[in-house]
Amino acid sequence: MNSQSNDDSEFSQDQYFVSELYLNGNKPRPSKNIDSAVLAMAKQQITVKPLWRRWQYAGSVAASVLIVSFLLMRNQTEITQELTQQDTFMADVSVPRQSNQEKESAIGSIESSNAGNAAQAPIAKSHSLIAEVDPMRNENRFSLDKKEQERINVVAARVSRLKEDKSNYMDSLSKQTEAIFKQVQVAKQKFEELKLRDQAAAQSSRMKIEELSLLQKKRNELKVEQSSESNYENLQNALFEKLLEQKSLSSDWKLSEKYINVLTLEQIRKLRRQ
Amino acid sequence: MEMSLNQLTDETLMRQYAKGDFAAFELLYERNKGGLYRYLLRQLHQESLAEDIFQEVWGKVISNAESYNESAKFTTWLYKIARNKVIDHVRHINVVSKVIDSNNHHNAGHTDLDEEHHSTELFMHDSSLSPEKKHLQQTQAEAIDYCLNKLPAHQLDCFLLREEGGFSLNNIAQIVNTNLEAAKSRLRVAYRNLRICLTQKMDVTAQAAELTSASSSVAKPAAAKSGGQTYE
Repeated sequence: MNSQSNDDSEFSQDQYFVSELYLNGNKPRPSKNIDSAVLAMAKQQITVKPLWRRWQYAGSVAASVLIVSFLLMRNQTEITQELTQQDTFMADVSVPRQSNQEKESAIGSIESSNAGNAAQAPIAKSHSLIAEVDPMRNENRFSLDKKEQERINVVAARVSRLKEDKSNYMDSLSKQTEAIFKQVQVAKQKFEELKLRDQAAAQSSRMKIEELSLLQKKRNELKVEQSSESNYENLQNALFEKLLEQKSLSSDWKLSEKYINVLTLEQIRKLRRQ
Repeated sequence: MEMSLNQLTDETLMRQYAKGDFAAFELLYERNKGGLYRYLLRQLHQESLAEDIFQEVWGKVISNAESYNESAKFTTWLYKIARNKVIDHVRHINVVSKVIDSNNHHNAGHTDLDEEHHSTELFMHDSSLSPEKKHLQQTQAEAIDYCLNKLPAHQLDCFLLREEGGFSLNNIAQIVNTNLEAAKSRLRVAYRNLRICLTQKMDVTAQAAELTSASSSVAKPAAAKSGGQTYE
């Protein structure tokens, strides 16, 4: 805390000393040319701005007027186009148009002939002709509506037919799909069966192999047995011969009981006989 | 009740200029031109370069007058632009210091002479000062120039912002993009270094002056004596 305050006081002393010298020292300033250049720049900026400000409102108003008039013109041309299309459509309708035209041309001729003339009779005539033309126009409209309706009916019928075809096609498609699915199922079943059969065959073959191996084992055992039997016979024969030799050498030789169990009946008989 | 322009803050003057009041800009410029120019000159050490950047800074202020955010202090904004311009020009303030150091090293004699000449020129025009006072001021100015040149770039930056811009530590930290403690440390070290340098420099100059005056006082009677002898 104390060192902090010491530092601060040192800092303020340094600052005071240096600042005093610095402030009393050399104070260069930008030249007059620079001053005038900067001020001219600033002046130019604010003289350009009001010009824009003055024109920005007028400009925006003019632009909006132009846009609105452009939109109006565009709409007008669209309307006129629609009207002309309607007129041409009306003209195309197959009605006794010729008579109408004749009547209209007659009106036109009457009007032209009576230009500047205040006579009432031709005007009345023209009015009557117009009155005749108007119902016919209505008739035309009616026939036009009828034709349109017919066309709509035809199109609707076509659409319904197409829908029907589509539904039929969808039905047949679903049936075909179902049939293919069944076939696939059958094939799968067969495949499963075959697989099972294969497995059974494999099992039986495995069992047979096991049996064969068992038989082989037994046979081997039998072979061993057979070999021991022959060995036994040989030994029997050897014993028999030895006993015969003993009998021939001694007069009071007797066949011992233990040999009787080992020797064959024939060998026993032979030994007793001799 | 209408306030005169002189009573208005820099921020208000800037807003008025943005609305098209040229007089407001004139006053704003007059208030800030000296400090900003010296801030640039002391860092760039080249009058023509300082003038170019000075103009660029004001150009930016003028072109961005409408987008100026009044909540920010005008001088902070101005010096930030100036500092960025300096950095843009020399890429980095450290590079500036290197360039300055190398220039000083190569042209040491020449620069000193130039500065001496410049300072002398300034005080020669001030006829109201006594010769002693003139000499003292000249010595001080030379010492300040010398010591500022010796100061590292980041310390010089902070020092000039304090002395020329009159900024608080917070504002200095904001302008130089550092924290408060770092700015305080830089400023503290800058003042300490300058004080040491100035004291040494002025002592040396005073001693030199004393020696010069002593030698001249010794030489005069000797010359008189020798002259007398000659005549004799």
